[in-house]
Amino acid sequence: MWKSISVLALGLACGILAHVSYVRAYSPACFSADTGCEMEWLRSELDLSEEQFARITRLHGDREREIRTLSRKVRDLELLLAELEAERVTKGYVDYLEIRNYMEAKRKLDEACVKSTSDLIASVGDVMNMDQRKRYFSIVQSRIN
Amino acid sequence: MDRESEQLDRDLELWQDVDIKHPRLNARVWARVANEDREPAALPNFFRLAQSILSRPVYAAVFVVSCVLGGLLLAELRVAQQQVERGEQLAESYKQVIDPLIKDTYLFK
Repeated sequence: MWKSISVLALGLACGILAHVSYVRAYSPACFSADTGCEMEWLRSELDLSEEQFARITRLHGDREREIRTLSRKVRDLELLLAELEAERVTKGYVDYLEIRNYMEAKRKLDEACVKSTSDLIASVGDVMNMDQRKRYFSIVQSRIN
Repeated sequence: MDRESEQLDRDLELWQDVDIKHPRLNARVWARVANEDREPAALPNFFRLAQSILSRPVYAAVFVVSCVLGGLLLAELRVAQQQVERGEQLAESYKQVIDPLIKDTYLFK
């Protein structure tokens, strides 16, 4: 009786140990505050060579400041819109000139963002071969204009 | 023999006067009573079978190896699932990196 129970316990313990060890060894783990994880993922997803990976990483690095600036402008415009909306709700006052300026700035900023993203995608795509480019475009499809 | 058993014996003797085609009635009744007395204390069939199998060294080894293989198989399925989910997360995250119009990007921080 006790022999059977110990065999049962041994089997379960070995199974759990094997399971946990395998998951720890092979589970995807990438913790990075910057774009490191995304770039590593892109490399494995598109089978990039070392040279391609280095060039693509450089392209993203070169664009990072521009994208960061555009992101801040997008956030600032959203804050401005929220202020205008709060003014309309609390005071019942609508500054149409300010809204027109907001619309104009938003249109220009959207165009700049789209151009920035499209340029980056095109320049990254130029580094890849046909097959890699096809897979890359399928990943960023919704961002291509 | 307790009172209930004596009573049962007397009742069974009454059946000797009845003309029925049932050989060894007394023996069968007592066998069933004995079986019912024994069953609750005994192990269920499945555990008896498991015990008899695991007591043999070869089958015990096969059981342990099967547990290890089962654990590895489940781990492989779990890792594959994690990789698919992580791939989807990173695809979305990459789009946030390249597109300033997407909200919740790390660039806002």
